[in-house]
Amino acid sequence: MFDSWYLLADGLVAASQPNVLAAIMVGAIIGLFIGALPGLGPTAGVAILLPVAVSFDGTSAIAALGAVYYGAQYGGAVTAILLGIPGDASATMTVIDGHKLARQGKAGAALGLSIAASFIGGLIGLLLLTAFATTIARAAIAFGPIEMTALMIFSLSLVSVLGGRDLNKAMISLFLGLFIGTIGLDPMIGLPRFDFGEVRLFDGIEFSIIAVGLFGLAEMYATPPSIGKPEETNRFRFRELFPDVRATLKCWRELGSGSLIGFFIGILPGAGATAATMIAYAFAKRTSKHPERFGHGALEGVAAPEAANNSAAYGNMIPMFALGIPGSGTTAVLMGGLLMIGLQPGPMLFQTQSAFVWTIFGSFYIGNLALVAITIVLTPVLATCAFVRPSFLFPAVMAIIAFGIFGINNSMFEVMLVIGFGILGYLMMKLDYPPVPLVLGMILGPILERGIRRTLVASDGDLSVFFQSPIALVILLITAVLVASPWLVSKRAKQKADVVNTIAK
Amino acid sequence: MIPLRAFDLGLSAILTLLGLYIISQGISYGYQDGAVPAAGFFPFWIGGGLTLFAGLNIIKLLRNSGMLGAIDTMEIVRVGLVSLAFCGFVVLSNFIGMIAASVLLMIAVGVVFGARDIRSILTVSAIAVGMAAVLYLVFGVVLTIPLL
Repeated sequence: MFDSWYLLADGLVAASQPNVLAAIMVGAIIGLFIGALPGLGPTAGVAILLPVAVSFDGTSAIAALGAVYYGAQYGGAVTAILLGIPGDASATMTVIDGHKLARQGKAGAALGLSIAASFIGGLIGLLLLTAFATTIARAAIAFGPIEMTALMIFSLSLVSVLGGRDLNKAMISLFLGLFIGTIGLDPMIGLPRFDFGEVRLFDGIEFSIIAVGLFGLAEMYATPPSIGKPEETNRFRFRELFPDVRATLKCWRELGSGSLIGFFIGILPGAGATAATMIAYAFAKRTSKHPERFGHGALEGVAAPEAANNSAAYGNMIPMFALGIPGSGTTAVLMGGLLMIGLQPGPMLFQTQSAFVWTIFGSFYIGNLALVAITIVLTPVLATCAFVRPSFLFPAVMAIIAFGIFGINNSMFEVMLVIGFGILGYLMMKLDYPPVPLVLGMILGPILERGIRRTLVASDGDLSVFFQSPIALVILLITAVLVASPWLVSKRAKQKADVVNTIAK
Repeated sequence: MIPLRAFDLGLSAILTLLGLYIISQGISYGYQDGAVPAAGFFPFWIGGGLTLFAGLNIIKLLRNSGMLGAIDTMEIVRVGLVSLAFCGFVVLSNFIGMIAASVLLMIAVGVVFGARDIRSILTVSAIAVGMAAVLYLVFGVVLTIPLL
């Protein structure tokens, strides 16, 4: 029972090495700015930094990328409160009461509370991550190739949850990702597939090329040049930005409930931090003695979503690390980072690379603590940066992309591929094709193919083996329910509407 | 303004054709090897799925003749210009080196995204030169990547 905590202690020591500490600080600061800047979310930020980060050692790379992710959760609240602009979708609920408080001259109270809520939410999320991750990973070791194949089929069915409003377009995106995953040498017999005569495609397409193009470049393409008005200046004095400790202590209930809701919603693949913040806000309002204050500058309206936001970021890590299932766009990109450094996320990672996993978890604790101080110090700068013009910011970001992608294989071929995926990502964004299923298909497709082919080789082509494993059977049943439920729910809603209309007539 | 419907139809048509291509290639790689799947097994089904769903999207678009919105033509031009700037960077790097080419890339991107007056162009140029120096230090010196 205490194994996890001993391992965490070792991980904290390992994460305190200078190179890992430096990676955490750099990632946290970058994440803070990315979270504050409208137009670039944590997914785009992690994707853009991926080719640069993996040039360093594996532990530092993932520590930095993780720091970008949770740093962005801190940063999103700053501009949400000070400027009424959510830096990221998950900071949207914070705008409702946070910006109202800033307008009432209570920016300091709101900011201090958001920083405290982010820290407490993050800490509770991390403690729960430490408590649950190994248990889930140990249970998952009972998974053989048959169970893993069923799990991959379940993961791919999450397209029905992660795929947005149009399931048909989500499926197109998924199959496109599955196709991209087949490019390169066949995993069983080494036959080149879909290489179009290009030797550089024998190893497939590097994940970071697709991530940078789809999420990074596409976001920038879609940003209108008019965002960022340099004549606006920071209207707040530095003194006003310091936290109010008493106000923070008053919201202990919302901090606790927000953290728990955020973590357990965050575990669910597809739910995401944004859903967690909405549910936490609604719960806080429903259970408040003064619900009428929500929407008019209630401190509780900042505490609950901010705690949920940060806690959900760590809840999201459990399916990725323990099961090898990315539960959101950002963790999908993070998972790509793990694959790029030669590590396969999943239950075996806790067995074969235990030191690495717990060092990363240790880095999360250090980063979460460091961000409190970093955010307080950098808040005035962050508020100013929200108005940096795209004409000044984007050239620098695109140059980083060009050099980072070139650095993967010292080849301009990959830079050309990024341009292509950038255009594809832009079209997908405009035409409402969700990009996350493409990433799901690209990462999980090869694993699914290997699982199916190995299982069928072992069983000499007998498909019934998938139904002989109780675990696989349960997973496949859950998959069937997940796939059928949106259709059943809409059919039931339509039947209810028909009954209501008939009664009305 | 360019209607989104036209783009969607075009993309769906391309993806349908891609799906058919994947199916044909899958068959050529071999569908089955005895009783077990061969190299073309997965591509066959992927191509089939892509063709099916892209085809369904075409039918949906043709049935629903309503507008899906439109994209501002200038936005398309912007995307095209930035992509051209990147391509220019790739070509020029072979002649003047990546560092010099990146300065031109950054200035071009800055102009596309709104730096049109002299002051803004000078600011973008300064950022470009500074950034190029940083990129040289990080990639060329620290990471020892052999830049062109």
